[in-house]
Amino acid sequence: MAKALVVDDSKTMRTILGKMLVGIGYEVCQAGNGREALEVMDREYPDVSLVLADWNMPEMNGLDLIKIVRSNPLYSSMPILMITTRGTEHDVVEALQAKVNSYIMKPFTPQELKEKIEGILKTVQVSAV
Amino acid sequence: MLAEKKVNEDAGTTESVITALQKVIMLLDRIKNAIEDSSSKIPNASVQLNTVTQATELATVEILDVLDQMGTKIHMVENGLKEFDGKGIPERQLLMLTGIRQTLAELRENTSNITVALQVQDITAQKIGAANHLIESVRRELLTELNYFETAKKKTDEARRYVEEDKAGPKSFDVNASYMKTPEHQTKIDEVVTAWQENEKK
Repeated sequence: MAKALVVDDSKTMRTILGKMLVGIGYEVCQAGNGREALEVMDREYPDVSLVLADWNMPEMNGLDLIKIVRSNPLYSSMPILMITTRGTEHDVVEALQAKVNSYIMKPFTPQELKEKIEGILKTVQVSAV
Repeated sequence: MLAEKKVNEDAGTTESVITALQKVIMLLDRIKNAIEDSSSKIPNASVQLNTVTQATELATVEILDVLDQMGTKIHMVENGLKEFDGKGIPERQLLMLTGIRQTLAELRENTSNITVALQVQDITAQKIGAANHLIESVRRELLTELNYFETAKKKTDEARRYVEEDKAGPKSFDVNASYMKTPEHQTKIDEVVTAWQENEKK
């Protein structure tokens, strides 16, 4: 079973995302901020195959997390979905510059999340070919 | 005669200045007391706001657990109903079974909708975090002003230390967080993402 890492400082969001991901067939691990996420990724290596990260988090935010993940050759092609309340064009471009694969605004439905993940996986497969 | 008049006038002016100064001192004292009073109440407000966030988070997670249990029970009933499949049961009972299955599907949909709606807790927490940050900024400003009153210096130093030591509550938030996301909003984001990806391919 594929494993997804949910990174969010909100317990509510971690729980909701966890349930949605289990519903679409993922095993889930969690982190409360970017720094914890890096620890979990190293600990669980190479099992984590998808990262869902919030933007606003204490200690290390989602954007910094993505930049660090992308600079590591082990995770440079890791599919990453940004999940946030920030929705301006400037925010989206900033996340894309950090090399996030896709972007979804809160709140979202399980179906919207599923479609976003499927879209990312399709893009990643195409670029791998 | 003129000299006596001048002395009387000077005395009158001095008295007026002293009276005015006394009024200013009283006013400054009242301002100082008001600032001290206001800034001492702010930590309570911050703590209360953080308590609200923690309580709603706890309640939300409990609701999510209950929804999970409901989902499991719905699944069990649906599986139980499969026992009747292909058993040649009468038309009337078949209609009832279809109705029950439909109701179960609606219940499943309802639990899913509640789960989606509960994301409002995270959005509310971010708004409260932003309000708390604003309140703390006001408090810092008030404490800076209080420093002008020498007698209050010790108190402000203590109060400032309290603010800096207070690490409770969310420190990261989106001040514009909103629950009202329109489909058009996500569509615009998707367009930006797609355009970016197309550009990357070139």
